[in-house]
Amino acid sequence: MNETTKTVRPPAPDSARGRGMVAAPVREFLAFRLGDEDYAIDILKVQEIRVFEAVTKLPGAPDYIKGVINLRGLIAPVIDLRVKFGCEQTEYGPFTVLIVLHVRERLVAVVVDAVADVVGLTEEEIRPTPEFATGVNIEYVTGLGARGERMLILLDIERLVSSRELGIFDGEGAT
Amino acid sequence: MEPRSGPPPGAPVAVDLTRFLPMFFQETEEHLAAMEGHLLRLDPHAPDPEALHSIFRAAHSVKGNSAIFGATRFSEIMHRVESILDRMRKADLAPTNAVISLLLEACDGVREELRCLKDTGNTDPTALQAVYERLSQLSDAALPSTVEASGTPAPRRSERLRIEVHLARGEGITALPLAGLYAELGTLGRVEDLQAGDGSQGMPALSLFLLTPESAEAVRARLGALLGVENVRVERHERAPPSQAASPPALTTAEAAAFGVFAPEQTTAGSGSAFERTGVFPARARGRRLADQDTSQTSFGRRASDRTGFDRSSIRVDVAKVDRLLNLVGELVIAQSMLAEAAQRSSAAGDAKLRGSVAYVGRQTRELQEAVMSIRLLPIDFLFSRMPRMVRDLAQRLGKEVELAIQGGEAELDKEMIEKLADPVMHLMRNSLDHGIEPPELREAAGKPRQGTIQLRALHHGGAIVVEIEDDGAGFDRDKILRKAEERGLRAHAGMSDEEVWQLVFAPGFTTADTVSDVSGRGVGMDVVERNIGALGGRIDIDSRRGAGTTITVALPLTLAILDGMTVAIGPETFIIPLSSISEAFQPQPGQVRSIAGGSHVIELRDSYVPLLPLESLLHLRGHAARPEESIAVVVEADGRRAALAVDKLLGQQQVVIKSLEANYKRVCGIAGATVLGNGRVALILDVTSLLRGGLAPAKDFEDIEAEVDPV
Repeated sequence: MNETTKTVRPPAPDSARGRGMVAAPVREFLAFRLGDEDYAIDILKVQEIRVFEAVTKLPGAPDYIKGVINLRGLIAPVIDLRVKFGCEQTEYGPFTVLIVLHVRERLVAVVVDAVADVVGLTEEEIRPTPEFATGVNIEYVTGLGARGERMLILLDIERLVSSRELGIFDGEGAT
Repeated sequence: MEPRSGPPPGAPVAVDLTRFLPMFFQETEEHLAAMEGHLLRLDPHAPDPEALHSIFRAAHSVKGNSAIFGATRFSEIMHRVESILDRMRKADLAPTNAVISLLLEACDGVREELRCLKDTGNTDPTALQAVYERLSQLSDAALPSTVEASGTPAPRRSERLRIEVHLARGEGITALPLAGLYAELGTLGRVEDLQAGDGSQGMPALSLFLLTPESAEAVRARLGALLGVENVRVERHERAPPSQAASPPALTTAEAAAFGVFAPEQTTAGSGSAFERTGVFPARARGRRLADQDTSQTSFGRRASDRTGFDRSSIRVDVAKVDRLLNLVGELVIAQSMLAEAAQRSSAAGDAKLRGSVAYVGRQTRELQEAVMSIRLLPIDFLFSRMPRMVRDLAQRLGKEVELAIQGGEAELDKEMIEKLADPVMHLMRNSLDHGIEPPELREAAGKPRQGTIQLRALHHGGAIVVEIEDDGAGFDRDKILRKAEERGLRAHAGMSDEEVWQLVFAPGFTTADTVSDVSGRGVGMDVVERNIGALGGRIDIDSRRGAGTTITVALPLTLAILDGMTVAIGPETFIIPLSSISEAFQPQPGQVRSIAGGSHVIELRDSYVPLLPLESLLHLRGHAARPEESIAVVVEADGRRAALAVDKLLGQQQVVIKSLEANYKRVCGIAGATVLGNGRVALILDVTSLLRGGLAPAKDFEDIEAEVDPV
């Protein structure tokens, strides 16, 4: 896994897909919903899932950074991916959850509309990313997962969260 | 693997000494520090024999350890030091300042090279040459035979002994008290071809050749005391040394140069040894590899404390573990207060048993929290113990006579705080020495003893610790400070009180020195000191009397992890303002708030006007705009600026545990950190200094904030 996230991503999606897949025939992803789209992230990056709770706002932060929460004594930022990806509906309902990620020794919580389930995908089920319109910068999409009727957009969440575009870490993280 | 001549019978692979290097470094540093401490206290006229003996022991240990690890340069130096000390013990040589300085220099030199070795794996072979030669001159005046007997002997008078250690039950080298053993071997003589095994199949756990003037019996008895006499076999060995070991240790060979101060690796092990195959000791001692050896510290550290008895009653723990513990306890405190609140509101609130239990849990939790916090505390002596050396060196350079009296070194302070306090305290000490204490002649002329006194004290004062630096020097020159202040265009006039005048020295770039020395006087001083102390949540006071001396008082909170704060509300949000930066808080009277051009406000405070800054706009909080006249003004001061922050409500004072935002996010302008309130929610702690800087030039700083978050 580390290899795909830490090296510079090659331009051709084909090679990136191949590289991530060699080691394990089935990888597990956490699928969740943002607006109308289904996304999935590597389950190994997920520390826990929490119900949405009140956040403390940070002065001067961009609108997709909702603030910080208390994670058993540690202060973690909360990112609303729906705002970041330009979803129209950003309500906080009973299914709104926080996915707490553990990336680059940091804890970051992201707000998503609903968590679906854990999905295992084999190499055959992961398709290269075509040019398509989505809220997400295609740079952070590692592939598309086909599961019957559903199409999952596979996100390189570590890369996204530590990207300079999101700007939540000081100095580092730019790839 | 290059072909080698066959191994001697039963000799396994050379032991991997690199595993023990972290301990070697640490021990040597400790011994050097001990030597230094004793040297500094040595009375030139009547040296304390016990102190001399302690220095001798420390030097001896350094010598022995260095020889084991092939750092022959160090052992040569320490050998000379021993000789000099021995002359002192026999009253053949007086520990004059010059002699002590030379010995201190030797310690410094070895320490410097040791660090270099630790960091880079190499040393400068010429670095210690000068000090070595001077030591030689002094020690060669008389080279007493007693030193010869206990020290590293000349090879020609020594015998080569072959030593094997066999342990019952076929245990390997890991069962041996290696640290103690190496120290012992180091004092006996020179070790060659040390080889380790796992003790199986009748192989020795350890075998080595020892070049020593002692008899085989004596060596067996000495080692036997450590390992059990029945486990040690010692025999005289006439065979030629496996390598060039008979030649005296020298650094001139090509290999020695390549490995820095380390002597050439000596091994005769063949590649087919059972031990190498099993991978018991896969790596060999190589100077180059030193830098990678830190990982071995844990296991060795345990052995070191077991065997050498350094500090049996304490353990080394990773600070991260302590911080985690602190975090968990912090959470427990919050959980406990939630429980207490729930119990109070529940229908069973009247139940005395429930009330009692909840109160008991609360007490225990707080006690636990205090106990965990105390783990991070260290005696301030860690800092103070560096001062005698600095004072001595500086006094010598300045031609002054100074006695340093240290009190209260046992007072405990947060470890991080001690580290951050080092520079400011050093600076203040240098100032006292340079500007405070007069030259001996001037002191005599003023009717004072030639020798000046600087007292360095630490004492607990409420929830704070106070560090005082008191000198009996000339005191501050009020007129000179005023004159210099005027020259620099600072607001100063003759009618100011002494206290106000002393505050002038904290102005950036202020100096009263007429000439700039490398000690002080460049004017990059007191303002930095004040800022550093301020950053630790402390404050600094000056009390000075002309001709009688100066006392500088630094008051600090006990720990960086806890802060006394005022909790304030702005709309639905809660913030903490550090109490140390608040000078007052009040509800403005009608007419006290004036609007000025551009929609900003000032508040009349006694005879001056202070800007009234609405906190919600400073912090970019939207959708809330109370009229400034209706808010509460919290007057804060930082960095010489003063302003009133307008908040909605004061919620109360409390101690909060400071948590870092940067751990998982990044620095936020105007925010010093965060804390978790009793209800489990996060509250931000304001950084008054950066807020005021931003508040007085809002437009610019807001841009900074925007730039920092880099919005898309």
